[in-house]
Amino acid sequence: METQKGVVELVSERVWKFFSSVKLAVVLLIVLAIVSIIGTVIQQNQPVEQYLQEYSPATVNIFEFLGFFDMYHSWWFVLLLFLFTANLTVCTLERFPRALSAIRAPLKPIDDEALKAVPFKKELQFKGGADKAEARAVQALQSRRYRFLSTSSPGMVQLYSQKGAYSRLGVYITHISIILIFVGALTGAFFGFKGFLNLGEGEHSQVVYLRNEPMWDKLMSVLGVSKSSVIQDPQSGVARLPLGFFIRCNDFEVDYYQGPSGPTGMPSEYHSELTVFNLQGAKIFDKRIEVNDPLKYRGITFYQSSYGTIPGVNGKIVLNVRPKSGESKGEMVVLDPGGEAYVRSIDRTIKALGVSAFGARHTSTGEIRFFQSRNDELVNPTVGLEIYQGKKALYTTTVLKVDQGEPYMPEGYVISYVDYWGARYTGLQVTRDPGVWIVYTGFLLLCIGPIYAFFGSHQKLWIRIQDRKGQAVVTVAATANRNRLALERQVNALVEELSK
Amino acid sequence: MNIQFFQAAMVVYLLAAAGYIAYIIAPEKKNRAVFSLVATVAGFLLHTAYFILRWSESSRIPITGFFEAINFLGMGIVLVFLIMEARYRIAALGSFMLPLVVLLMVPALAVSGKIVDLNPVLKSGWLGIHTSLAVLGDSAFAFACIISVMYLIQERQLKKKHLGAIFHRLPSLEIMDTIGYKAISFGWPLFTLGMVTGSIWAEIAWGTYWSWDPKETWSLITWVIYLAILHLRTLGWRGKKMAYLTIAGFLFVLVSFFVVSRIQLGKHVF
Repeated sequence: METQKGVVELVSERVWKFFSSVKLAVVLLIVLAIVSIIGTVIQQNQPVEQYLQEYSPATVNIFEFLGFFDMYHSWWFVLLLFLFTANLTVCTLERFPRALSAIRAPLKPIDDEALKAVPFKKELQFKGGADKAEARAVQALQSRRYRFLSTSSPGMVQLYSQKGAYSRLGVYITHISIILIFVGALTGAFFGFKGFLNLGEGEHSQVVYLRNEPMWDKLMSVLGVSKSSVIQDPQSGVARLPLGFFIRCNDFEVDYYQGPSGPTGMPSEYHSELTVFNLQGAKIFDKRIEVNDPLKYRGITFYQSSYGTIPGVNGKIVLNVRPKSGESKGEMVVLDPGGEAYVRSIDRTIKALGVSAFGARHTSTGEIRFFQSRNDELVNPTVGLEIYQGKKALYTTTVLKVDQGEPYMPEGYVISYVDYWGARYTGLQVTRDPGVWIVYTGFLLLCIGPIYAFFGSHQKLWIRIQDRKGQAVVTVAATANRNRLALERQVNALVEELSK
Repeated sequence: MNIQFFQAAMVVYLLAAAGYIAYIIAPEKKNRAVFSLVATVAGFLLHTAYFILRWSESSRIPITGFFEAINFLGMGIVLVFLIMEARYRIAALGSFMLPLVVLLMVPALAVSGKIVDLNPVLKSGWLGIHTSLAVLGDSAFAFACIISVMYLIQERQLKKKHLGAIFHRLPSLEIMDTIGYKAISFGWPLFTLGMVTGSIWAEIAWGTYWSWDPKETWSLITWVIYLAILHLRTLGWRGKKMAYLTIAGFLFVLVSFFVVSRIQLGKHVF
C-alpha cells in the first residue's frame, strides 16, 4: 500500500509539474493558433453537397473524420482548449501564493550582502555631513510622494520605500479573466441555446427552432433524470423549444438608402414591431427591435437578424385616402392585390391592379420603371390602381412607397401607399446565454489585468546614508520586477537632486 | 475635392520617406532628419484633415470598407511613429516606418475611395471604439515589427564587423530590444480591448459574442501569437529570436488585415 500511494503521489506530482510549465503554455498557444487557421480556410458548417463540389469524396471523408467541417467544436480542439485551461489554472495556482507573499512581505532595510546583489545602485559623496544628507533625502522622497520607512543604526541611516506591489497581481487577474471566459462559454453551451424564428407579419409563435440544443437538457434526458423540453420533429429532425410565452410580429419594415434616381436596394435599417403575450393571451409588452437593439424577456433575447418575402403569399395593400384640402388625415383602405373596395368618403371604388416589388418613377418623364430585386425583396413596393365611379373606370394611377415625383391624382383627393402587409417575415435570432455575464466579467478583468501587468511595476528603493569621518556617503539602490528603464530614469533623477 | 487632401498626404509622406532614407545613408546630414520629421507631421495633419472631412461628408466615422480601413491603419502607424519619435528621439525609425506607411497605403490608391452606404449592422457607436482600438493595436505591432527589422540589421553589422552608415544611425541592440517589447506590451492590451469591444458589439448585434467567423478567428490567432511572444519573453527569450518572432507576428496581422478581410467569407464586413 505504501508504495502504491507513493506512485499516485509521484504521478500527480508529475502531472502538476507538467501543467505548471510556461513552456507548455507557449506550445499550446502556438498549436491553438496554427490549427485555428484550418477552420478559416475550410468553410464551416456547410451542407455536405457544397463540400462535395469543392473537394473530392475521399477528401471530404477525411475532413469529416478529422472534424474539419465543424473544427472549433471538434473533440480534439475542445481537448486542446481544456488542456490550455488546465495549464493556465495550474500555472496560476502555482505562482499566485508566491506573488501574494511578495506583496505582503514588509520591506526591510538592506544589508551589505543583499546590496551587493542589487544590479542598479548609485553611490555619492555628500558634502555637509550625514544629518544634512538625511534631511535632503527625506525632502526628496517627500516631494516625490514616496511613503518610506527609516531605521538608524550607529553610523548609518536607511530610508526605504516600495510601491506598486499590487501590480504583481496583474498577471493573475489576466489569467483569471481567461478562465472566466472559458467558464462562461461552457455555461452558455450547457444551459443556453441558439435558435431562430421567422415570423410573418401578423404571425405569432410560442416555440423557437434550435440550432444548438442546451447540452444540459440533452444530458439529463439521456441519463433519464428529467425529460428535455425540446420537441424533436421526427421527419425534418428540426428541434423546437417552447418559449413559455407568445411572441408576435405586428409589422416589419425596411428602409433603403436613397440614390439620386430612387431607392438603391441597399437596406439602411430594418425593424420589427413585436409584442410579447403570456400563454393566457394577455399582452405583456411591445417593443420595436432593430439591428443592434434586441428584445429581452425572461432571459431570452430576440435579435433582428434577417428578413425575407414569404413565397407564394399575398399581403394586404394598405392605402390612405384623404382630401387634397383640409387637415383631415384621411382613412385607411385595405385591399387584396387584384381586389377592390368602395370608399364612401369619395364615392369611388379603388381597384388594386397588382403590386410590384421594386419600382421607381423617372423624375422628369414621370414614367414608372420596374427592377428585379433579389429574392423578390420589397425594395419599393409599387401599386397600380384603377379608380371607378360605379362601374365606370375613370383613370389609372400608380402609387409607390417612396416616390420621386407626384402620382397622378386628377380628383379632389390623394391616395397614398401605406404598407404591403403580411407578405414578409422577420428573421429573428433567438438565444439564451446564462454564461454571458461570466464572460463579461472575464472581459472586464481582461481589460484591467494587462494594464497592471505591463505598466505597473513593483519597485523597491533604499537610501543608505553612512557617516565616514564627517563625510556622508549616500548609496541609492533600487529594484523593480519590470520596467527597469523607467526605474533607472527615476533613480537617476533622484540621485541628481541629492548630489546638487 | 476631399480626396486631394489624401493625395497630398501621400505625396508628403513619400517626401518624408525619401528624406529619411537620404538621412540614414549619409551620416553627417542631420537636417535631413529634421526636414523629414516636419514632412511627416505635415503629412499627418493633411491625413487627419482628410479623415475629418470624409467623416463630415459621410456623416459617420470613415473606417469601414477596404479603402477607409487602410487609410485609418496608415494614420495609426504614423501616430505611433510620432509618439515613439517624441519619446525616444530615434530619427532612423522614420527611415523604416515611413516607407512602410507608403507601402501599406498604396493599395488604397488602387481601390475606389467612393463613400458607400453603411450596412445596418455597422450603425452603432461600437464601430468607432472597436476599430480604433484594433487599429492602434495593429499599429503598435507594425512598430514592433519595424524595430525588429532594424535590430536584425544592426545585429548583422555588428557580427560582420562591417559598420556601415546605418550603424551610427541605429540605437544600441539593447535599446531596440527593449523598445520592441514595449511596443508589444502597448499593442497587446489595445488589441485585447479591440477584441473585447468587438465581442460585446457582436453580442448586441448578432446575439453571440463569438461565432468563429474567419476575421474573428484570425484576430484571435494574432492575439494568441503575441501572447505566446510575451510569455517567451518571460522565459528569457531576447534579441535575435525575439526579433524574428515579432516579425512573424506581424505577418499574421497583415494576413488578417489584407487577406481575410478582403475575401469576406464571414459576416465581418471589416
